[in-house]
Amino acid sequence: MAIWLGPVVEAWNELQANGGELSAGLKVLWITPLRALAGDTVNALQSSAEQLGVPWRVQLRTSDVGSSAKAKQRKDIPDALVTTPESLTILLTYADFRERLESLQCVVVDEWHELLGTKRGVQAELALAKIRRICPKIRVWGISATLGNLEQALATLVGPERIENALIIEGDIQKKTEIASLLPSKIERFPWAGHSGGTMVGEVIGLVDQAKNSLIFTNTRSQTEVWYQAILKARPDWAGLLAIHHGSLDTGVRKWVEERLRVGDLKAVVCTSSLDLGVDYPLVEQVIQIGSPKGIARLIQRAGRSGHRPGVPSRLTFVPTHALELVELAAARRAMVQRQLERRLPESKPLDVLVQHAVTCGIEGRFCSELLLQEIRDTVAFESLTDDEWAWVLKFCTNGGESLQAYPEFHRLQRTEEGYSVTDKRTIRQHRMSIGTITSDAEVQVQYLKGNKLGSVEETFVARLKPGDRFLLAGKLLELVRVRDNTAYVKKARGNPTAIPRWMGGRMPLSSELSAAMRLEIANASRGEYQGSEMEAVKPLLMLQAKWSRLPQEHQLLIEQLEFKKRHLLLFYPFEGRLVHEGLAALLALRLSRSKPITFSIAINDYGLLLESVEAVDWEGVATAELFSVENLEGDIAESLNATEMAKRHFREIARISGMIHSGFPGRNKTMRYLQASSNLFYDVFAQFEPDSLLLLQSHREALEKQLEWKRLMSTMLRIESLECIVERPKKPTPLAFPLLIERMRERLSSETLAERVMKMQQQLELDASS
Amino acid sequence: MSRTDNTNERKGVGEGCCPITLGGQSLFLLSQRAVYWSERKVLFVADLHLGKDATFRQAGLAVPAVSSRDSLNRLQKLVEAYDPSECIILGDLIHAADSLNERVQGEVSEFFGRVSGCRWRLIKGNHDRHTKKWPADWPLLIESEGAIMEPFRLLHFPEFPADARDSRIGREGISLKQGEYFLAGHIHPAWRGSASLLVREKLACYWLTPRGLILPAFGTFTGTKVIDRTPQDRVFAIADTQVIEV
Repeated sequence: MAIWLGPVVEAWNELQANGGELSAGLKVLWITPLRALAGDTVNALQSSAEQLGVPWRVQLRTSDVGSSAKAKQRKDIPDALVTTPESLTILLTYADFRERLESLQCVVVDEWHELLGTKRGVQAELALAKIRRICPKIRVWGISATLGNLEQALATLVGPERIENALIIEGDIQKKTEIASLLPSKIERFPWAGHSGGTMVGEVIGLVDQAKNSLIFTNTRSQTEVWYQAILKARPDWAGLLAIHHGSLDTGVRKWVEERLRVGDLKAVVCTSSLDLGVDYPLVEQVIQIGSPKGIARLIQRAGRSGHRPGVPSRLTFVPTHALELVELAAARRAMVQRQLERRLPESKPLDVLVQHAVTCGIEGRFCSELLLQEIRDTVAFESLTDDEWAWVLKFCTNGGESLQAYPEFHRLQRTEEGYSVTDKRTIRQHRMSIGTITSDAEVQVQYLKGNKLGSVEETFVARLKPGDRFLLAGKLLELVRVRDNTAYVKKARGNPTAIPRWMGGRMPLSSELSAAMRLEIANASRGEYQGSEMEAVKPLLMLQAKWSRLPQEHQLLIEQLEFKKRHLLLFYPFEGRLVHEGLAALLALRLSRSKPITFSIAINDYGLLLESVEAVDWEGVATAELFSVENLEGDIAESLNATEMAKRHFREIARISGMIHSGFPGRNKTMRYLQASSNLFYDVFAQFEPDSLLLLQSHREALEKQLEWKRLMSTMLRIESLECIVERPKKPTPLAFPLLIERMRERLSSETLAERVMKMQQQLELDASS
Repeated sequence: MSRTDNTNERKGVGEGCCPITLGGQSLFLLSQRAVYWSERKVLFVADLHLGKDATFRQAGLAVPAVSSRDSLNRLQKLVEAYDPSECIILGDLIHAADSLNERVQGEVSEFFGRVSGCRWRLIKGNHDRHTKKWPADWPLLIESEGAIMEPFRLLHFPEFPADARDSRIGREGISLKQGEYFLAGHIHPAWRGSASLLVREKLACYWLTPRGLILPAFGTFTGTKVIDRTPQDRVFAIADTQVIEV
């Protein structure tokens, strides 16, 4: 808000000097990541300008605005526009709009941390570079939550060249944050990862009862549904006072919840990160976080959603879903004090975005390759773009790829003597409609037979359902009636759900910074240092770990080897987050089976990994140095995981962004059916006929980086190389091993039998522990 | 199941294929996504969707232009290996109205020149209806669905029982007589199974229902649809060069 006052005050001064006259034209561009928030922003900016007596017009420019209003906006431009990266990119394709940018004084990018590290962020970077070229004197402001790499975030906003002239201003009002943990009366001595913490429902209800308004954050959308049901079952009188909010709910449903949060007549909202962002709800008194937030910045941000009035502290209560999460919280608390926050690394050279951008620039008018390249290199994302890569992108846009030269039917970008441009009307129309980098997995809309929309679930989930199956969505139990035209028609149901929808991308790995903090916490415990109530609470459990096996110190890697139910278990605890462990597990399985063929089953969690085999592993025969060597890491990873399958998953997004696949056209007509092909099919033909396609290579790179956190895996391997490997042979599964065993069983058992089995195992181990 | 070895005379021919008996006849389900009927020396393929890549490029979507040619080359190799007296295409030879451009037409004409040793027949599929005028130089006999080759009925759309679940695409009209079986395409069937813990693989497959056999799509640039099998069905998945009953 303070940023907004700058230009407004300038306008006020102008008003005074010119005797009540204001110059016309656009002065401020306000970029926001969330379309849903843009309306609120417009209202807030408009009213504060009015309060200062500046008669500015602030208008919305997002895909929610009708086309006639948009056309009017271009003729009669307001003083400030609130827009999204996508809408801004489209705006910049209009020559008359670019001319009007001359009067622009400043660009504000709101919630930049949300865009940074995404392809949308790259799109915004490219748009900013263009604006900088058109008006070199422009002021760019970014608003961001605290990050571990603010300097880099700054460079992405102002361009790598101008970093010396840029400033970081940190808010110096230290907001008081109170974080407490809800400690169960009896610590379950053996934690089991991933159960929803259902035993804590009573305590959570007690907390909610004490406050007027609460936000209850869970980590996944399915957990939101489960918790909503559990609370409502215990407190039926809260029907109507309890709401649910997550990204797969219909906008109508979400808006309704947000509005009531503002008014403050809801007791509590169960939500996911969907409520991390956006305007503040001053009436929220407390935040309840169920399960580890998996990151320090996220914990701070969530706590900050409460007590949003001057002088009122932010209050967050953490509800652990298993005992070891208390260690995570203790670690997060310590890291918070030391301001060790997560970094968000910007994307590097996503060529799919560049392909889209090149075509966009071709729509703007004829462009000269060299000049555009200069502009593109003025971004952090494409700073190191090589001439060859740029040439490839241009070729792809003009010919469709290497092998297409001889085929005249293809044309997106046309090359003439004077430069590149897009002239075909149909291509222009299609491209404008598909500008953007948000691609969602194939989703199926869910709506009542009568017509009310509820939200969406993944196509793969619906594919497994039969009519009559019951599932939870939007806090309601629904029965599938039929699926037609990408819509699942449902009616209200009674009884118990037969299926719980799961959405991809639900689980975040433990962040690198939090992992390091957690290792430190455990190392301290190994020396008998237990600081804070959380560590005190898990002390009996960690002492048992030390007694049966060991608590690793900073310079040690703990490996446990034991026999359990006629299986040989090999457990490693690098504490590096689930994605790294996934890659590491596949890699170790491959390398261990090289000397002697052996088949492993794998289980992973945020703390470690488990390799299970019927035969014993000739562990002594393998040098640990070889096992964790970074030599031929990439080749071994590709061999151990189905790299093609992983790349295909990422190629889907790339194919859509680079315009190979079109989807989601409004009023898609019948002829479009002949243009449908899955991204897998594209992947296959490219792999067969154009294996050197840079977009194909990008999909491999993204698969490694996004699915296995490649860079982190590398640094983990390097870290492990320098560690002392300690092999312990406990007689029974240890507190660290137990959750991994459960992960392993999860794949084979239904959730009900799993819960029973876990209870039994836990009881047995409790007995062993107390004897 | 009887194995007639007359296709295996030449080395490598029919390797990895799966022989089945349908209506007392020997059908060889080839890993090359084609069926060889040994008694009558007939080769069946379905769903080539030629020119689909051209249609895509016309719409500004980049697809390597080699995929139609690849389909034709593979078909030529099959014809050379099995030397059938007749080759029957069970529908969807051409993808869309603008698929049959000059280049594709030329490629197909050239192809027919190279495989002149056998007769060619097309059972018209839903995609073929867009082709109003077939090139006169193609030695191709074009028929509607329902042609009889005892004990088979040649279709494009598979025939499912009237009470079949609606997810199985079927259509009324042609009813099979007792002891008759259909051979059809259209579905582009695929089977999804898990090859290991981390990987779930989707493979093109043959789908044998009690009423007839559905062939996988032959075309290079064609998608697949995971089938919804019933306990009476048999499914043969194509894993590279092997056809495996799953």
